[in-house]
Amino acid sequence: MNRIRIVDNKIVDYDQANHLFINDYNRYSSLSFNQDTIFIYINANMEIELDLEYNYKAQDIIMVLDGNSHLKLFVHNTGTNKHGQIKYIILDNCKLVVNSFGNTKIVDEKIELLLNGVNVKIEYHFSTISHDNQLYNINIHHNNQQTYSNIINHGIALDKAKLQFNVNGYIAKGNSKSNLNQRNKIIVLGANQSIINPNLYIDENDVEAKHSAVIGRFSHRDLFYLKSRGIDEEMAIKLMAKGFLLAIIDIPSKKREEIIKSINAHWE
Amino acid sequence: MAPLLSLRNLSVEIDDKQILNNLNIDINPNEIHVVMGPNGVGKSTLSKVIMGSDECKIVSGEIIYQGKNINQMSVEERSRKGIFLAMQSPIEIEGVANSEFLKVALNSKSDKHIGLYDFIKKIEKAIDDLKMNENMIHRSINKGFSGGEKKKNEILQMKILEPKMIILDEIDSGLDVDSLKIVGQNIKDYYKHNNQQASLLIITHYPRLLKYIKPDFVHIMLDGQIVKTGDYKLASVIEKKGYDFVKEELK
Repeated sequence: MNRIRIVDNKIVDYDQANHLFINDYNRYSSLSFNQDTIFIYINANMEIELDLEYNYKAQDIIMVLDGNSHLKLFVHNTGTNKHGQIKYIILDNCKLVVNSFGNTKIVDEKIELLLNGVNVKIEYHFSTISHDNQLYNINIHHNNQQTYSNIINHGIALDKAKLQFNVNGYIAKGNSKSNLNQRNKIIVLGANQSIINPNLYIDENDVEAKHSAVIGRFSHRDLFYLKSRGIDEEMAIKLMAKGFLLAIIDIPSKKREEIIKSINAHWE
Repeated sequence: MAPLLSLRNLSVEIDDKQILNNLNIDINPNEIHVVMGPNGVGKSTLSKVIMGSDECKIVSGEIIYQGKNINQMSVEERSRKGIFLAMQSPIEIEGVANSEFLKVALNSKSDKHIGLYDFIKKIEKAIDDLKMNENMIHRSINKGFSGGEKKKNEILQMKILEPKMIILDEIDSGLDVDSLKIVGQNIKDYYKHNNQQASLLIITHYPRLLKYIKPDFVHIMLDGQIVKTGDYKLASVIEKKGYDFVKEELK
């Protein structure tokens, strides 16, 4: 599987062992940048891993997966604030796996997942931690038959943070045998101002759909367990917060270390 | 000899309901005590209040550990001073690896942090002793573990953290015959190697664990009180006759 990493509109080495030149990359797929938009086109029948790290204040990303391609994407947004849109256009028999971590102060972001082809599968796993205001609008459009989406969002709201997940799943009439799942959870570690709207808009009978939304604090029972092993409350919460954020995202170990550092920084 | 742990006239409420009623028990260093009783008499509350759960409200009485009243001591401080509770239903914490959890717990006990090599050796030895899958150390705490694996994981933590006052709350439930033997043997070995140091309080319904660990005292608990105390033979009597004969004696 090819692996590339994009940081601030430039392709950089993923690591020494997997150095992939842009020319090699262009043979299979295309990648273009302009001031406001990153456009990534994954050619048909490709299998690729992409590590997308960006820190722009306002930037749109459009990503197209052509037939039978398989993309595993890691998205890491590190900027101080973010207003933009990421649109995924997915064609027949493609599989998209997104693992995304947000560590941005102020966010107003729109994620559009367009399952346009038949037999498209999406795993979208997102974690975020915030001291400030973060708004995520995630729209999942099942525009064809036999489409599958599994959306998992985890967030930790610190202090006076306001974290909002608006997750809208759409299945239009005729798009039968589709399966739509969404699971959203926010752990509040300060004042509770967070909101989850887990909406399903379904106009077809022959589908399966599940949704859940939980906003709460870490359980006393879990805290008691950790404390009963000598761990103080602050450390117990840090451990559980890291666990909660990282449990749902599958990322390379080097990246994982970076993320753990950035999570720890919230308590420094 | 001063007791390691004393509960003196201890009355405890949970959600305004009295669970423990003027309970007394003294546990000396190097003693093994067993508390038996039917469901709902307060056995698990007894274990939780010793550990300091804020679910339990002490209405009156004292918990004395190493000569000091610990009624107000935090849960983590009790743990650091050597009290350990192996829980009846160990919780699952997704995303927190057993290894990280144990390292943090071990380092919380003292200012001198354990080196990585020593930590790994210690863990490997404990995993081997308990015949556990070595991958479990990298998995989330108890996540996807069977009932037996969870109980073994509690004993693993005991072996790593090396406590002095060990409370085992129904450690035998969920264990098959082979696992019960392994767990029983590990508890016995730990107790032996910490001679003059460790004391055990075993809370159980059944005397089957006592095949491996011979208690010094068996207490029968009814309605939040210790109502009868005997030696290990009392456990056999309970197995044969149930708790009704104790109730008859009390009439």
